[in-house]
Amino acid sequence: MSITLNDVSKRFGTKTLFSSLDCTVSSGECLVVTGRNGSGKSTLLKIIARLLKPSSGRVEIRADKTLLRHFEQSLPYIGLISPELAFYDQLTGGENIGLLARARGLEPVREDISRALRAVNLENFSNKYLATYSTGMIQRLRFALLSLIDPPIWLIDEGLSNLDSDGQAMVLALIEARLKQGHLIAMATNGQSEVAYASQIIALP
Amino acid sequence: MLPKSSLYRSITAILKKDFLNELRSYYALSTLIMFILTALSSLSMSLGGITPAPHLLAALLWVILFFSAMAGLSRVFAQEADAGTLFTLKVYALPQAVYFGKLIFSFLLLAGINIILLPLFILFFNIDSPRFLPLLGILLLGSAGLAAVSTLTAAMSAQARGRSSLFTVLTFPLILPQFLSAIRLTGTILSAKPPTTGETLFLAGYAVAAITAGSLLFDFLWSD
Repeated sequence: MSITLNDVSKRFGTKTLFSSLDCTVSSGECLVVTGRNGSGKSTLLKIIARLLKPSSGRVEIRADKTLLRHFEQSLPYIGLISPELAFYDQLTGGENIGLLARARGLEPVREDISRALRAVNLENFSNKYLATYSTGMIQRLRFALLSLIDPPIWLIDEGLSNLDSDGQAMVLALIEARLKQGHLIAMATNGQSEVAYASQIIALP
Repeated sequence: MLPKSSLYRSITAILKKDFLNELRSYYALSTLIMFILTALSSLSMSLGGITPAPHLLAALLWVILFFSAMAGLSRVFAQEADAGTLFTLKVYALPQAVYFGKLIFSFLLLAGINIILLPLFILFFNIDSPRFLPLLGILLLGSAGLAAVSTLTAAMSAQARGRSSLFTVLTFPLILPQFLSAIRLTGTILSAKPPTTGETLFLAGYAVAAITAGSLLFDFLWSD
């Protein structure tokens, strides 16, 4: 897998968030996007996920040598978690990630869901409604969803937010393990512990 | 291109999610049932036991069904927008699965409403020797077109301000040809005449065209 940014810029009205971004990251590498609040870190991840269009320039995503031109083509290869990613309050944690994995077209069995929840220490909360989860537990559930779907590209926006020290260590271990397995990871963060994994850094002004 | 089994699995996941959400909140169902009961009782009381002519009865039936659908079906996407889960669906669900999952959910909701509405309508308006099955068939055929159009317009209006009125304003012109045809056909059946083949084919054709157009347009709407 590879992601290439070619002269990517984003403007909202007259305000330019960023311009002329160029880089290429491949499987097993980690791109870290840093910058002050409002600099466009989350926007850049959404552009890479093809949820937003750049004002100019191009984002190329390749699986082996094949160029994935459209949103529908790249969707199965990408998983994004961000503070915006909400779950369904009327469903349990296990139902939430199980149904979202099926909505992706996958076929997880009960053991897959348990394993994903166990990896983030939420196995005992599998049958609890989401309305009873704390913000830290919801952040862990986002990582459980990403682990369950396990796409080759992980886009992580503020991955350590709302997590306690155990949760942060668990997420960092998960990131390290996936990089070793050859996943491509792009993170938007200002945390030094995540920057340590960077193969490339884009520092937004 | 994803295999068909993946799309099928994705559609059933969206459908199951919506049913679980609805069964645990009763939001759309309670809105629809309350609207139907209020509309039926107020119309029945204002007419004072008089049974109107078949074509007027047919118009009343479809007006109740249309506005109850407007009250309940806009929630199909608005609820996702309010809860912030629209973004989650965009990131994780297959776009066509979202369209067909929501469409089938809306249709099944309307079908359930038809099954509740029709006996009550016959009872409230003292309709003699009603032809229940042909009437239900026409209601279900009309509901398929209504569900297809409203799924698309609900997605268009979900993130807009004043979305309830926008939803109705967008849906009504699109559904009008089918609405008029369904009223004529229902009036014919209530007059104890057999349904005309032309009108029945038009209703079926409209539903198929609305579902096809909705499926083709939804990807553009979803990714922008």
